[in-house]
Amino acid sequence: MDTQKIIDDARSMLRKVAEPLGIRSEAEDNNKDNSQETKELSLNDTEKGQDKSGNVVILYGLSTCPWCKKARNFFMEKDVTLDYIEYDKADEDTRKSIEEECSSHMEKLAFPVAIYGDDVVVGYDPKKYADLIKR
Amino acid sequence: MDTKKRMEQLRTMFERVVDPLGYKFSPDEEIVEFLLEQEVMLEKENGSPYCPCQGLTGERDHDMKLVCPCIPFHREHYDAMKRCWCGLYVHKDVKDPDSLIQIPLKEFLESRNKE
Repeated sequence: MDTQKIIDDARSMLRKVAEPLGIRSEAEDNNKDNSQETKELSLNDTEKGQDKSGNVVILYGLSTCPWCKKARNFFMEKDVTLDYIEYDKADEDTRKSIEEECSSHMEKLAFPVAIYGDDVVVGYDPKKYADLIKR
Repeated sequence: MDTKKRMEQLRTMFERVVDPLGYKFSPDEEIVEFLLEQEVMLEKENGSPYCPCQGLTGERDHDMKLVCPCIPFHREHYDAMKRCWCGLYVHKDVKDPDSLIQIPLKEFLESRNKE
């Protein structure tokens, strides 16, 4: 029997004992912390990732807009990968591409704009956001 | 000029403009404070207190329609929402601003054309 298997078996045994008592193992806590950290990093770096369905929620916002922050918080709490870009802080090329994307949806740079696959939600609307990521 | 002082000046000035249009400041004082502060910052950076929730392009025709209060330039759209886009102002009869949602322009135009 290899060492990793012994550790895994021991963890599983401990979990069985601890769970009914409402105790969580330190390892699980560490894993949870790490996953939160990873999510934060991905948001801060505005790196494109993929969720289970292969899509990314792209969220365009403004650094001055409270609704954009609320929209960002909404998606951060869900199990989706978020690519958050602030139009007013973006470089010239990114700004132009956001302008083109918004005008293709007949919108005039009113933020926040959430894009998931082919679907677009303009404005802060948690109900529409929930429907969007359910599809 | 001190940010707080400028915020108060804008508040007094804007109140006089939006009142005859049937609007008032949102009862959500927290959001009002935040938005006014952002407008003071935008004024320092760009010369005018622009809407904090709509993007500036640098084109005068586009940007001048976003100087707060921008209600006259978007009157029908904002009236349909009973609020302006950023939520700084709401219709005078609104008591619960959280019940109002942002209706995208496209959606508003489509519903208006159906009528």
